[in-house]
Amino acid sequence: MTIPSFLSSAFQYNSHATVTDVQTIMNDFYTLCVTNLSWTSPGGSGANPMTLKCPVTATGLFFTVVLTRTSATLLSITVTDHMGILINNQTNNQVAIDAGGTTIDEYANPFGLCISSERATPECFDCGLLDVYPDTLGTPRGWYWASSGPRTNGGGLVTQYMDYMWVFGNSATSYTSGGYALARAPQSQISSHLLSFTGAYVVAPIEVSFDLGYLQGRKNQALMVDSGLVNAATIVVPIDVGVTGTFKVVGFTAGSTPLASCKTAYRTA
Amino acid sequence: MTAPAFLTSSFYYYIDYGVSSMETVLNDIVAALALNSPGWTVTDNRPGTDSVTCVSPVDSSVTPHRFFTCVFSNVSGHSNLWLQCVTTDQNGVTLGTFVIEGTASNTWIMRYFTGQFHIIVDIEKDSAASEALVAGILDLSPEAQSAHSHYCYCHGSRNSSGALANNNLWFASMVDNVTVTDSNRVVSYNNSYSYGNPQATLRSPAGSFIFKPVIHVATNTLNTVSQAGRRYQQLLGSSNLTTEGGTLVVPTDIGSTGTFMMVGGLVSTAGATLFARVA
Repeated sequence: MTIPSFLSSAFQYNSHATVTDVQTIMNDFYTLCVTNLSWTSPGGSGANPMTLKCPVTATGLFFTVVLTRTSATLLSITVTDHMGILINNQTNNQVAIDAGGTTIDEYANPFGLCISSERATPECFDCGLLDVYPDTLGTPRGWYWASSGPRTNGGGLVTQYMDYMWVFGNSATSYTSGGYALARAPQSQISSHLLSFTGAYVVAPIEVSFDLGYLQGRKNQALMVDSGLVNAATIVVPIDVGVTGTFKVVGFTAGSTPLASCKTAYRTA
Repeated sequence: MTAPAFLTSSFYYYIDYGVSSMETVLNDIVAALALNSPGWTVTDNRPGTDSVTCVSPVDSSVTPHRFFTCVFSNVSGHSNLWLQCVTTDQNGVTLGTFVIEGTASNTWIMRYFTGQFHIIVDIEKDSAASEALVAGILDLSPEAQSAHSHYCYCHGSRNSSGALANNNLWFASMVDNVTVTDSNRVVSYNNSYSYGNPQATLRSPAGSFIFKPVIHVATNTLNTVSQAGRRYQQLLGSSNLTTEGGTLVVPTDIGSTGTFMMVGGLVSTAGATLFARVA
């Protein structure tokens, strides 16, 4: 076999310590996405708001992320799909940092990005286009997602579950939010740790299903890991014969049942 | 990569048509296991006792040595229509006693999915729903196969009293921390969205069929629900794929495929069904 398709894209990682102004985060993502990954942004580095458009796929799919500096410590994020429909239907998802400075872990790939604000209570946002192997991207349509939260329109830190996201379901008229990541747990709807019987860590793709019985796809360059891994912990994972990837736990909380023992990790190396 | 470890063990498929007696089934089991390589140790206890004792090939490459034992019996008093299987692990711990029942009104198609680490006896009756017995050893990779000793499992359509009980593919009996439990433990790939209406996600919206390992969870020595291992030469697939006895070719590595057959017994629920390797 080869490296699984959801782990085979380019990726970028940056950890920026003591960020005191969210414009720094925006400029970092300009570098990660535009300079290093061929995203486009009409305003250039330093713009506010900053519009980041991922590379258009062969089937015409893309999404656009608008980062807005609401204040020095509050970053607003909206994401729209290639039809111009708002994905994170809160209109105004927000990520906060501390006035005294916060470490920001920043992840990007051609199909998505993730911002993890490593506060005492971490705040995390991710969005993107799912990997649909073995199907072709865009058949029958693209599957976009954006995480639910971390902060809603009113600024409350409410929906940070690793499995919650905005998606456009079958027969839907807009993106709706729910717990759509798939668990490695039995039908009895208990949560299972991602541990072996002897306690070794087990990882799994973050698979997404929002039409009953159908698998829409997987998040790119991300894995589901056990909740016993603390925030910002790293784990080295074999991804092919003789090939490893390093993944870092981001700030989402563990999921809702049956994912109550699972967290999200994004690739750093 | 190479083919996953749980798809690299030996396997042998055997079928018999027009069967009407569990005595014939015992004969079939002896015949099927005799054609396995590495070989099982089969003791035919007849005529003294109407049973055969089947010990899987001992995997002495790891300590403790891995094997399991199935004693198949033609249960007396049931007109050759009850086949019982008692499974014990490598320590002699009884994991479960399960039964399948034939019908007197017609003959049956018997399918035997066997290998060094698994055995499935499946009865297709036409006049009634199919039933099955399963038993085997879990693949523990990437951990060493000696990482722990809680790797044997079994299940069946009927309990030891002959009543249909937990007759689905999600249940299996194995040793959790210290206690043998027949419980809902096969990973079903659900999410909170489908809570209360679990649906295995084994199709893509574009129409591709998706196969996944049959993973068991078990409560480990830390009293934590954990990933215990994968069944050898078995897959979960969509129940919309084919019908009982139908086969599908599944990629197992670059340039390599395996052929898997839908097992009829153990009721398919939530859109998923059990497939076992035949080629």
